[in-house]
Amino acid sequence: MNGDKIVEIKDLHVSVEDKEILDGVNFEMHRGEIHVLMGPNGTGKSTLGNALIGNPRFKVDSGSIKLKGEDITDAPVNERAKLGMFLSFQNPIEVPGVTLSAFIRTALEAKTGERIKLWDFKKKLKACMEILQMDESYADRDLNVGFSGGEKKKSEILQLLMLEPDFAILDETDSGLDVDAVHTVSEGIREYQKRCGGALLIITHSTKILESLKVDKTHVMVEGRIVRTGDASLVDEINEKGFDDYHEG
Amino acid sequence: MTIMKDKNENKTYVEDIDRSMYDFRNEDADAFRLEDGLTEEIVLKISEEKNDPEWMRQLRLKSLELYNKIEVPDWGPALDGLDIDHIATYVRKNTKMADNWDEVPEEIKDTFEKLGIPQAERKSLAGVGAQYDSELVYHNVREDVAKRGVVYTDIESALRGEYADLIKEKFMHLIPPNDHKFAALHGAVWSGGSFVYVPKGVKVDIPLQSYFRLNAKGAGQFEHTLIIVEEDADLHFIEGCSAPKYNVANLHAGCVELYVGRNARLRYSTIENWSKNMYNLNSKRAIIEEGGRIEWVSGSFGSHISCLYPMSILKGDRSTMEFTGISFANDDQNLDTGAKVVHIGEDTSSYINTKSISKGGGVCTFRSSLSIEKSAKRSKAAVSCESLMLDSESRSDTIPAMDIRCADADVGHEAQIGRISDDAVLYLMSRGMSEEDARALIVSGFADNVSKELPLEYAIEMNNLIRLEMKGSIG
Amino acid sequence: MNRMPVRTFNRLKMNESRLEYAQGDVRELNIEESLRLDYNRDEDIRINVKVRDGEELSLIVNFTFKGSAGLEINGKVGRGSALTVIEADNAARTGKLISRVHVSVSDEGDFKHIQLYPARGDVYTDCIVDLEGKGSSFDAGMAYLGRGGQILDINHVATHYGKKSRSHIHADGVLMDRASKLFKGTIDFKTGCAGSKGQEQEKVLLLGDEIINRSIPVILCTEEDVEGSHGAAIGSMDEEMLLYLQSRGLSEDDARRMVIKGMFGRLLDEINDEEISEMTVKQLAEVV
Repeated sequence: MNGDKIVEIKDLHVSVEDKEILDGVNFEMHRGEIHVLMGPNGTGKSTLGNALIGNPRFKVDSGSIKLKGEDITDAPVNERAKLGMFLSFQNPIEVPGVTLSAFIRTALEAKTGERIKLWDFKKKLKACMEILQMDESYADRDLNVGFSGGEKKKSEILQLLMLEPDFAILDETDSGLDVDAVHTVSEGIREYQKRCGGALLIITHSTKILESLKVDKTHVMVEGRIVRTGDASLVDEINEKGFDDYHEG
Repeated sequence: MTIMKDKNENKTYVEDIDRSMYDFRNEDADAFRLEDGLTEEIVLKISEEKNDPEWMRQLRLKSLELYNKIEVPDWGPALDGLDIDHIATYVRKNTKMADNWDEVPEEIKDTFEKLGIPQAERKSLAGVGAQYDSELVYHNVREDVAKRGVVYTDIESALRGEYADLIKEKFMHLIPPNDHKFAALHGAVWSGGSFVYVPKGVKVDIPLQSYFRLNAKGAGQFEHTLIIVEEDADLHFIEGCSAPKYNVANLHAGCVELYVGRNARLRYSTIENWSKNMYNLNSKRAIIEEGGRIEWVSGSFGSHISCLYPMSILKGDRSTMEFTGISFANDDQNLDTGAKVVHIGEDTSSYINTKSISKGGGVCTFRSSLSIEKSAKRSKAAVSCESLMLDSESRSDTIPAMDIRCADADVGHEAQIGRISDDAVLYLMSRGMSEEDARALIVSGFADNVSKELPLEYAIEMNNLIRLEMKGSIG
Repeated sequence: MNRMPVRTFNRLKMNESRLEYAQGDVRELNIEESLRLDYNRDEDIRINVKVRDGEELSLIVNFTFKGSAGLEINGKVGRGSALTVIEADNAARTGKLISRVHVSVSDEGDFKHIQLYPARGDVYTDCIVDLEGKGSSFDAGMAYLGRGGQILDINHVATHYGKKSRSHIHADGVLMDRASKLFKGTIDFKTGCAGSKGQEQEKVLLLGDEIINRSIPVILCTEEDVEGSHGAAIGSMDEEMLLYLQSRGLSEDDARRMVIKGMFGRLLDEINDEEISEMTVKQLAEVV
């Protein structure tokens, strides 16, 4: 806890197609922390994830994003990734002709700028896939092509484990998964925590994925702003009462 | 030939219709009929008969010249059975065009009543035009619609009216006589058809309908439809056609030219049910200005041979087109149908969705061409065609062509061919349906892309046609 | 050459392709065993391949000639046998590559045809397959990269005669600069080929402002009991996909390169030939 400051977001205003979605978001995270972001649908949670990773469709009108002390507000997507940011996509994209394993290897090489020894890579990939109970054959299948919803989410967590980012955003990684799959995914997340101790921002609707994780802070987002921040107990409170108390008026 | 009266009245609702309801024919005793064939003399006679302005007379002669030069297409169905020397290009009943059914000669009025036209006019149409052989016999538009400046008349009257100059500018401008052999033929001998003008901002909320009936044996029908929908205006136009069956070839080579203005919308629906001795070589083309929209709904059931590929030119930015079509080819039918679209403006979009059914030795061909020019930035196009084979004597071909010259175009295409699933038939039969009914129901369902786009009465008529064609499909 | 089995609108100029090519003396090879051919001279070769019943044969042709050349393959695939023909175009050439393949397949025979066209230089390819036998199959996989003013003229015709025969034609490619591609693919179900299935798929990535991409995927059918389908996806680089790849640290160029290479990836894996893979990857690396 309270390691180095990893993420610092100040007064972030973001719009999509000239419509303002985020209306001044502030928060910071330190190494090893897990934060949960909750809020009603359409309130801007996924917008935050997209804005942080640098999706050009999401325009930062003002405010700043710092990653490990570096201002990345205007940095291109891949530079953010290389610096240690990771977004687990809500709908992972299918990339035909490129196998999952070749892709992860290329991404790792892009990050480190070094060639990676095939043997070491394969060993690590196999170990990570075991944790996620992924069949080995998926390594040689085209990235996300024809994967089921659950397999796609596992593919995202596999990349998280292999790329070892300092800051990871998991956008609804648990949605649409059955109980066993949620369990496996949170197993993967715990492994990531244990191994890298990065900062984790989990955007979620349910508590299942949080059960075996130690949550440090909970943020509630309503209409593009973080309206309340509390500790882990806030998650339970929200689950009982919903978001009604937070709506304006 | 006589049809029970009660059956007529319920025409569109009676389930067990039969072909004979389209097949009745009248004697041509009192008709004025030019001799068969195509000569300069005949063309000049037509021109004289119609009292053409000089430019039109010249257009006819020029077209005739082109007709004699241009070859019959070397693709598509064989047209060997069609001999222009045995086609009468002009047949007129001894009557003038009326705007009141009571003034239409009894025999002709009966014909249209059997087809349900006056009834439909009373119930659900804003205006009706009825053509019998080469000339319009009836044309009327509802007063309230006319008051808003909507013109709906025959081309001949329009050529002498307020919009004469406009017609001169637009007539055979989209489909010039040199486009193909049968466009040239049309240019030479055209007669009848409709002119529609919808002024700026006028939205006609109930449809206009023209009905074309070719009664004369061994004759041709060459009507010209010219529709101009001005900026922000809206129109639904319905075209129906039928003919009694003869044992010699009849020919239909009409021409439809549609001008859709800025942000205007035109829906053009056709239910074609020509008799099975008809060569239907029709040309249709639309040009769409900025933000405008053309919607084609097309059902092809009749004719011996059809070649029909309505073309949309998306000239203006953000103009759109949607084509929904169905063809059903039965014994001795070769229906070669589809659509063409050319994207020129930016952000244009087109969607072609067709179904075809082949049965009893019938041939269905889906033929299309999609062109996206370099200027059509960010255009989107989707083509989807499905074909159903009901037996192995029939034939179903899919020949879609695409020519894309714009890098940021987005094009999707899918085609499928198959048969009625045995499981689906079994399932319906297990619920008590006969096999024939089960198959007819499945085919009607297959055709619902078109039936849901049609006004209710027409959808019912179409389903009846399908049911009729499905008769005796078991065995 | 590359004539369509049925004609359509002449205006489109798709019915047949005209090309000027003076054929020289034809070197004739008769093979009944697997062969790897380094096609390194401007010459015309005709290969007659016969795969005996129950046997497997593969023919790998790696083009490295410098001018123009014409290859003709006539194949007979016997009962229960398998023929694989791989054509890899690595010829840094000034002229044309003309490839004509005509194969007939007997009962339970399989014909697999892989064509890789990553090189510069015009390509005319005509592949006619007659699925005569019951349960016979044809599997065509193609990947191309068109650039400069390159012409790619492709014609595939799979005719189903035998019952329960299968065809699968899959063509993927990238068009850049002023490249012009015409893909004609026909699946023809003849009466009597009950239980047959045919599929055509095309994917084209459009990356140049002056490209010409033409396709005409034809299905002809006179048999009720068949399933035929065709699908095409034609468009520019998918922005979402690029974002996803970049979010994992790839530069935009690397991401584009990965997508282009992806068009060839599956076939390269399938061929599993190091030399061809290396040469292909090198060709692909020339762009972006």
